[in-house]
Amino acid sequence: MSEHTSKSASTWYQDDDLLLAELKRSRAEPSVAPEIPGYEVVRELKRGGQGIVFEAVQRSTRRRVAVKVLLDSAYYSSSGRARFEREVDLAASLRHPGIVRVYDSGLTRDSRAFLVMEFAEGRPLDEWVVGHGRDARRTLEVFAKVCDAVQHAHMRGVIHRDLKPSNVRVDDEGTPRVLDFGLAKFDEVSASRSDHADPMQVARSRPDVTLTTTGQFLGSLPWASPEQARGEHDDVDTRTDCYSLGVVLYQLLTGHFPYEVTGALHTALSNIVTAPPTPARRFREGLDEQVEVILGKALEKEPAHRYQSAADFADDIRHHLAGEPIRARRESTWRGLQRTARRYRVATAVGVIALGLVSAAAAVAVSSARNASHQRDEAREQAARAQATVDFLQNLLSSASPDKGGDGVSTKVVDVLDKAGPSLDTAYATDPVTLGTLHDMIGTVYTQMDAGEKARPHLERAVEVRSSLPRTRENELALITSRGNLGSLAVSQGRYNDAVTILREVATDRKRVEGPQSIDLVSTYSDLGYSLRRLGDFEASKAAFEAGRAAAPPGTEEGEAYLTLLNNQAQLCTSVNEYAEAERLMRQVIATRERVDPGSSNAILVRSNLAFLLLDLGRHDEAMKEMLPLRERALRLYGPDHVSYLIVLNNLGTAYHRMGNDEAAIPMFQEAVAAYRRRGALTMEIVPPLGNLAGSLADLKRYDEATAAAKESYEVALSIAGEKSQDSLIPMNNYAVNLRKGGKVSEAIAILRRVVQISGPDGGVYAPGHFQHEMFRLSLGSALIANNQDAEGLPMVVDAYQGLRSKVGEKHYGTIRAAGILVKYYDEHSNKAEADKYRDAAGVK
Amino acid sequence: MITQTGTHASLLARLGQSLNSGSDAAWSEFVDRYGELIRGFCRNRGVVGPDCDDIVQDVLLSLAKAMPGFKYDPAKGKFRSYLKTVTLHAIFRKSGQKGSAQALSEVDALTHAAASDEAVDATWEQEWRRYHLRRAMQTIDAEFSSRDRAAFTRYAVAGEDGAVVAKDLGISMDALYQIKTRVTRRLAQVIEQQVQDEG
Repeated sequence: MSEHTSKSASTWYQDDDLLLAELKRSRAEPSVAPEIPGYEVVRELKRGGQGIVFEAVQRSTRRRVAVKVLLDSAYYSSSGRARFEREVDLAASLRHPGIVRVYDSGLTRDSRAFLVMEFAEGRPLDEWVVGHGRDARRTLEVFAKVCDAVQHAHMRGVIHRDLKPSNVRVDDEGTPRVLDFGLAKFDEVSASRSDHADPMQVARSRPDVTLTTTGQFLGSLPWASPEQARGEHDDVDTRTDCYSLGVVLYQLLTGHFPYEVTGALHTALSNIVTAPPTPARRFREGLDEQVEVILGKALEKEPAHRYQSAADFADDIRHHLAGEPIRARRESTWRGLQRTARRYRVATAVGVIALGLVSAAAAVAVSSARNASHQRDEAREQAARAQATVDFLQNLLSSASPDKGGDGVSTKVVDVLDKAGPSLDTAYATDPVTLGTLHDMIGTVYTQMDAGEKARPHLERAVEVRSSLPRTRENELALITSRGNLGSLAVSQGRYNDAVTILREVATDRKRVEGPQSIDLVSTYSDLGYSLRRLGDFEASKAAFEAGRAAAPPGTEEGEAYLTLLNNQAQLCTSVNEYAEAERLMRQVIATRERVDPGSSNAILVRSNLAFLLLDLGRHDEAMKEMLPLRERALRLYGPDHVSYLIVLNNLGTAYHRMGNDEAAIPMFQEAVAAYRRRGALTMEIVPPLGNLAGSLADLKRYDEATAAAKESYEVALSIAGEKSQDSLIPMNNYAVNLRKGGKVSEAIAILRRVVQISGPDGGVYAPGHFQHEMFRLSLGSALIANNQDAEGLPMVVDAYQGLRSKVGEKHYGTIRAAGILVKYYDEHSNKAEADKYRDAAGVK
Repeated sequence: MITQTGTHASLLARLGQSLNSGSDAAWSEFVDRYGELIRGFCRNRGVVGPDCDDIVQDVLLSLAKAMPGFKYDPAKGKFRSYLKTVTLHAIFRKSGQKGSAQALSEVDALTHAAASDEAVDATWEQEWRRYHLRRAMQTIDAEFSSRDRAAFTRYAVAGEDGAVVAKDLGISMDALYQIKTRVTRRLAQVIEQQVQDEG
């Protein structure tokens, strides 16, 4: 700027005397080894934003130490000095083989504060890992020890806040030691209570004393947590360290950061706050799925979704290393509850509704950097609103104390929502936007938890509140979303006619407001097509799926919504006997899911759908090849109580049953039933394994047990779905079949007549010609024969056989079963000629 | 250990590039390089303690935001004066936050006045030189033996008696002079390089 300075600046170092004079003058500054009482400084090791680290020797003991001299002048004052000493005392109190000891502190001759620490031998963690060929097992073993050390500090109220590979040294024996805990932030309020309080409570509470320089965080940006990146220093707690540990582990295993953090600063900050981690297996093929899940859990943007402690983090790693199930799940109950459609044998994922509130708040925080003032106001308003919602959630969750007990999270959530729901309208009377959001959210969560009757009033209220808002685009979209959620609820309650009406309107409105393509529109069409199929209107169903495919914005063909639609369309194809197309679609979904999201439960479910299709087609070997590995995989990924695992168990049992191996099938069903019972209140999910258990028990002639199971299955279904629902008809049928086999034939026939009547064309539960109707007629016909009502029963069985044969083919198990009944009947009536007609079809000699 | 950068590309251009292209550790480099400089300048202007840290962060954020669009101008001193302006702006904004509400236009006016003030300039220049010396000494530390460094520090910088230093270190007076010359020359070279890099 000024001529004078630029000229002198270009010359001062070219003159030896001037240069040396400058050097002498600058000696008063911390660039030259300071005089530290009692220590002999050997050399400078490192300098950063906080201070300079020297290697030194303690004169009295000749012990080799590291001395960190702080640049910050905040410690000049007596109060600053007191704070500094308190911090050092705290750091010095940490005694753990994984934490570098702090020995001493004091002031240099020129009144700068210094810390004396143990001299840590070894290499920085990242170098060590690279030196060991990035071996996953060794990395995880060492990393778990790092977590132990961090946990030790957390239990004493010390947060690191700057964890990164260079702050961890690993010695030749592979023992890691964490550096710089001396500069952690400390919560003096909670620590003063720590003598009596629950240590976890202490560790989790928020720190309110900042001792560390704020400028420093920039130097460690790649490892910063979303709350740090947002500048919300009040939100920094022990879980912040868990996040940074997650970034460290990701980096160690893959050699990359989970998202782009080395680009422009604002991009990096925004990525930390909002960008989902790139699946680690993109960078490292063959990395175990469990490890991916563990990383995902650690890198949750929202602290409440992360590992709540470094100990939990370490536990999961060790479970993984021991080949045991881990505790982390790919989706938390709140964010990713997928609704599994209650098809009898196959669970079909219909859609995933993420709440997305927290990330919305984060996005606002970042985008508010834009300049226009009205945008700022709007952003501020949105942020405040998102915050109101988050506060509500936090209150809700903290009142539930989710750590207590262990019998399933969803029951707890129900309790919490039940408690919170009624007070909403008064609490948010003046804030209809938030009120609408909360009703919609609670309704959605209830829907996902199969508590449809509780969901409905909330969703209806959400629609009502949102209808009353000013007609902005945003408000209109919110309204459409709530109506769409009402439609989804109708789907999940089996009210397919209602669903179709609502979803058609929603699709029209979405197109009007959002244009012809959007992901939400894809989901709407997907639900619509699904409902139409369930109503048996296959033509309209197909049209809806095609419309849904056309509504996919470019580049979303690998997204959840699109894949769900394809999966549902594949189910339609099986309904209309287009097996080749069904198989093609399923394989496409599987391939995409496993590439994009390898641990996805949906990939597992679609694989089991495919296995059933193959079974239907008589390709048993292929089917079992798909099915058998799924159990192990789901157990490892989800643990023994997770719905996804239980569905796989049920499906595997069903496959065994279909292949005549009931001894193998029964334990599968029993395990699934027992797990559902452990989860608390019974939902529709227990109906399939219970009913299937009954079927297998009956085939082994254990009729009493079979009838009991069938009865419970039937009663649960009836109480949840009502009589006129596909979901109830099959359990009814099964119950009746068991009654018949157990000798109560007339009772069975009464029920089966009802089933056939409801399922038939008049009842409207299935479309005319749906094969399931033939299956029910087969049951009824065979019961009639058993009751010596051959005149009515035999033609019914013959008819059903022909119907099944034409609709689902010779190899379908229904066709085979029908043929078997006919062979048995004619053999018993010594009519060999007739029996022979069906013998081949029945597969019996 | 910190080693010489060894490139003739403008530091500014390189930083801008790395910020955009994603080369490693651009942030630490920023903080390490300019953190102390800005802090030193703040202290000189009477800003204390945590406020210094806030200003450092503020400045680095502004810089990083401006960096992708910052046009490299080969005129010497360009970046230096730019950094000065940004730092002054941050200081005035900070003091504005502390006192009564201060209009942004007022902060701009104060910044403008201070940026062309000779006394301010001298302080800035002093910190700038220290910054270059600190960085260059790191290169020296990496390149010279501990004996040479001790000789240089004690004799050339601290002004100890040459005979005593030579005797302590077991070298001749001649060798001591040579060390002083070699290190000083190297120091000048390194700083020259740094200044060229900085643009």
